[in-house]
Amino acid sequence: MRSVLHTEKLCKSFSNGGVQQHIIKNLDLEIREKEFTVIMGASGSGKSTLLYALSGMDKPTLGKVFFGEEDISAYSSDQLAVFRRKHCGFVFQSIYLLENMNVFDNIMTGALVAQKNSPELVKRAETLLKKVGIDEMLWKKYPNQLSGGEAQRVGIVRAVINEPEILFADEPTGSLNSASGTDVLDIFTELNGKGQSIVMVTHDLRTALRGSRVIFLRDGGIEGEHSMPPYGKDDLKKRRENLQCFLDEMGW
Amino acid sequence: MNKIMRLALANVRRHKKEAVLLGFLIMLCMALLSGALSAEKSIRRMYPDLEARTGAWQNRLCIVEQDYSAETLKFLQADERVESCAEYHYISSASTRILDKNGKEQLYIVTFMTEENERIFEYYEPQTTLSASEIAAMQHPIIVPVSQKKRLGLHEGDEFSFINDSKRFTFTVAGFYESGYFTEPKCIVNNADYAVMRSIFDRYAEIGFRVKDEAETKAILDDFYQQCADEGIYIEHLNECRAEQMQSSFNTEVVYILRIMEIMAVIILIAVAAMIGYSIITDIREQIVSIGVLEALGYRSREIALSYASEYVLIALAGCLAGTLTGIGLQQILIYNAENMKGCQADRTVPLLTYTCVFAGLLLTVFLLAFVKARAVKKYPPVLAFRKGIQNHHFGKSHFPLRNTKSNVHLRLSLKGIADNAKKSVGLTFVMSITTFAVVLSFILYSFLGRGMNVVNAVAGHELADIQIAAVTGTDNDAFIAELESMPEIRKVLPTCQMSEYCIDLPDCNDGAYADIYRDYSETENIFPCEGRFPQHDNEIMVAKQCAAQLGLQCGQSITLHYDVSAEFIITGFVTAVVNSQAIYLTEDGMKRICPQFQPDSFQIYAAEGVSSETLRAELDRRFGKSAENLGSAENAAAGSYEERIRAKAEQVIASMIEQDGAANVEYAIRSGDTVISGNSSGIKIRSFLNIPELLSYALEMLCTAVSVTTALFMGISAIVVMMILAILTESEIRRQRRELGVMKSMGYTSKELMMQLAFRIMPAALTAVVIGTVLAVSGTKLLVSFIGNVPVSIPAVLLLDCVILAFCFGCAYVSAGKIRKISVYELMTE
Repeated sequence: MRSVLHTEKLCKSFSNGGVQQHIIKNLDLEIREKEFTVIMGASGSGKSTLLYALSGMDKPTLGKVFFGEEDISAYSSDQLAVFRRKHCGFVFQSIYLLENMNVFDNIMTGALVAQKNSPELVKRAETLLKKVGIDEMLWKKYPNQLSGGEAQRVGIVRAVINEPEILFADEPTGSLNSASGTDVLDIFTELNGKGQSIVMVTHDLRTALRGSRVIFLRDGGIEGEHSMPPYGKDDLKKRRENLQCFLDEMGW
Repeated sequence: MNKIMRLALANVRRHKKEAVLLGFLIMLCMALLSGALSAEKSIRRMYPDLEARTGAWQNRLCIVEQDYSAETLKFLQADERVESCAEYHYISSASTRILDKNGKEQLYIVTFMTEENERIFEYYEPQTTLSASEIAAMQHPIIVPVSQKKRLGLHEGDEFSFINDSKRFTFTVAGFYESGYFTEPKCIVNNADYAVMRSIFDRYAEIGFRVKDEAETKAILDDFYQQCADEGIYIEHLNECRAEQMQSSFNTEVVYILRIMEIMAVIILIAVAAMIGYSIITDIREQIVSIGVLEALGYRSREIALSYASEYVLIALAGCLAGTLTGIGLQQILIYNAENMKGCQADRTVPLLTYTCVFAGLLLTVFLLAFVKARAVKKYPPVLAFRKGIQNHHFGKSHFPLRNTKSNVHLRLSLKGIADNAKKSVGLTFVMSITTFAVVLSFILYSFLGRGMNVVNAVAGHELADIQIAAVTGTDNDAFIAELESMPEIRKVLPTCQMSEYCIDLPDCNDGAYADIYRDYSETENIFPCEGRFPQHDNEIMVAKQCAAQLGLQCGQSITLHYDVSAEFIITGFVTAVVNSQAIYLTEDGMKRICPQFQPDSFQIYAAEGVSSETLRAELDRRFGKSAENLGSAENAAAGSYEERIRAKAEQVIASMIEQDGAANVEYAIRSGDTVISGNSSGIKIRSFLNIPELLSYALEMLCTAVSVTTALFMGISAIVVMMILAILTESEIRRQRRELGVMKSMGYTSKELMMQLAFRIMPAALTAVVIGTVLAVSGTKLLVSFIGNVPVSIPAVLLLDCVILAFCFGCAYVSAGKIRKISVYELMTE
């Protein structure tokens, strides 16, 4: 599979009260096309930091991040913004829908930053919303009138409306109940099944099972990696055992 | 109380930049208001203090000496309501010049008085560093008012020369003295010099009087005029200076500046009120969960509201303290300027009561405004607050749905933002309308009044030819005009009368009105009717707008005028006339209806294209010889051969007879031994020259300077206020929408795009405000017609200014929105 993103000696440090904290240390990683990459690790292992560095939300302290052949670590803030709008989609744990806009406008805010309005675009938004189970009657509702699951599904539609090359998800089921979480994960599985590259951060085994590649981080470096067949194409029980076994090995 | 102050301090620390900006506005408000009010107090005391120090007369009647009768003084002496009165004399000239520091002649209207008369006018205590013997050794000593010491940079022993036409009178400064209020500088010279100048300058007698009760002044003067009329004493040229008139004209310009500053302070206060209201509501929305937590911990909503109010009181306290210091500085500057402008000392004491009142007033206003707004926390009990308050729940219509976006999404998002914050936009529009009004009006006034001659031309209500000459009595006008018009340097000549020469009686008006007379008004170039049209027939007149307003006259109304005889006239129009607010404009034939012997004795002379008034004047001198007022200079009388000295002395006598007594033809023959020296006045056609434009420009110089300074100040302060308002608004908008902006950044919106969106959000409010402010300002100029005439408004210039204001607003908002750059998506997501 073609490489979409890769890093070279990626480092990320923060200064806290004059003390440098190295969160990511000389990390080399490749994200491949159509792969569902799951990043796992203990709290403070640098999962989210890595996700944001990969997605151009944050600049690395040292090292490089390549999108294809393009070194995005040298980009300015505005260039990174343009990179994000063209190539990335984001799903957040806290969902972060725009409170002052209704469901449909939330989707269109994400869409119109990357492309011009067209009947096809509106149609696509409507189709996607229907596909994730957001009925038309909810389209004019505001985020605070939605349940967590509904809101996260809207968040996913907003993330994929521009058909991004990579979809980044930071613990997308973290704030959802079990049923809603499963619904959301099913959408991710379906998207990946259709060829969407996904990078997801999670610390939940059930969520990680959806991935085809699990990267385990420890102290800012890759501790281990585990590959799995696409979700649904193998025995779920065995898949769980293998992953559990890998995680146990990693000391999780 | 302790916990409330702790919460307040914590809030101030959280919004340091906003607090600083708001504090700056409050400081500006405090400084302008307290500085102006306390300076006004001192400046208003300047006149009475000066009068008390100098003992100058409270009320005065200035009369041309040839019209003065000593009998008139007796009428006032006999009046029991008059405390005391006296008569004194002086000479003056409106065409005297002095040399400035660059050696260039400049107009300097001056009065000369002898010491004897000066001691009647006021206490007179000259100050000098010279000894009595040094002064005694001076041939032509002069004592100059202290005000002129600073203005002209004079010192004891300096030479001080006055030029009247080609005659130069050189004095040596012997000292200075503090003079009571006099319209022009009053210099004290010795009797010999005064006697020489008396034949050259205009001579006046003045009656000064003090009344027991100021309210009686008008009645006393009415009785005085009645007694004069009863006794057959007719005073043609009389200028009445009542105490209250003198006081108000003494510091008009200064008080005008102070008033503008006070208005500016009120505008800033309105802006502060709007900002506080907006900031508190933003704070409450932003901190709604914290409010819920505090309420859950047992804080009462009143205490939380008090903490918010205290936050702004703390800011106001800091602003007021800084403002008090700035205000004291401003007060001293204002007083210093007023002292320089008026040439007398003012009380520089800092009026603690004024400062305390303004300080307390501002603090109280801020507290009340903040507390009333902060009471909104009462609407959020803990559970509601935890749910971020009902205010954050949107159930209403979604404005500008994005699915209908046709062009630019950023514009669409801005419009959404505007619609969602319509209430804030209304407040912003209101505040900005006021500031735009101030800026546009200042701009119009600055471009109009800021340049001296503009105001002179527009508001004079008087013809302003390059030179006005008065012909000697008996001149054949038609022949003289023909002769003048044959000169290539002259474009046009209009016969008229001298300013203030004919005082016409008006019904129900004690003061009378001065005639302005022209054969054909369509020939005039600087008399514009602000309403109606020019008089064309002998029964038509125009009236000065101010006089018409005072008497309630209307266009088309009939009015009876009296000079030698009475006649009825129809009012065809009004003219804005600052030069003579009591002007009546008649045709030559019209004047003859009330003064059958009327003949024009003055001529407005217009220089040909490219000919300066100096060249024209020189050419007239060359062609017609010296004017009567220019004859017989003291230098010629004192130097040259015996015959030259005799002729010069004779010319002095001729000049005096023509100039002062109106003689038409004078011949002389002087026998000295066997020699007879003879001559006559036949070569003299011109009695005097007057450069009216220069004179008016000189008279209005102070007002024009005051207007320029004030309007520039106004524009500057307005710009600062607008900048502050937009900075505060944008800052709190970013604070309120920090999360949304972060999310949008994560979606790929660049900082610049978001900054543009925020800046665009203020544009509809700014545009509406600019339209409202401009319309109000342009309409406002119409209201000024009665005071300063038709103010020409250049619509393209105003539109350009509007564009500049809009660009400025956009720029300020855009720059203030730069804080968006600091919002880190990563930090926001990992909070």
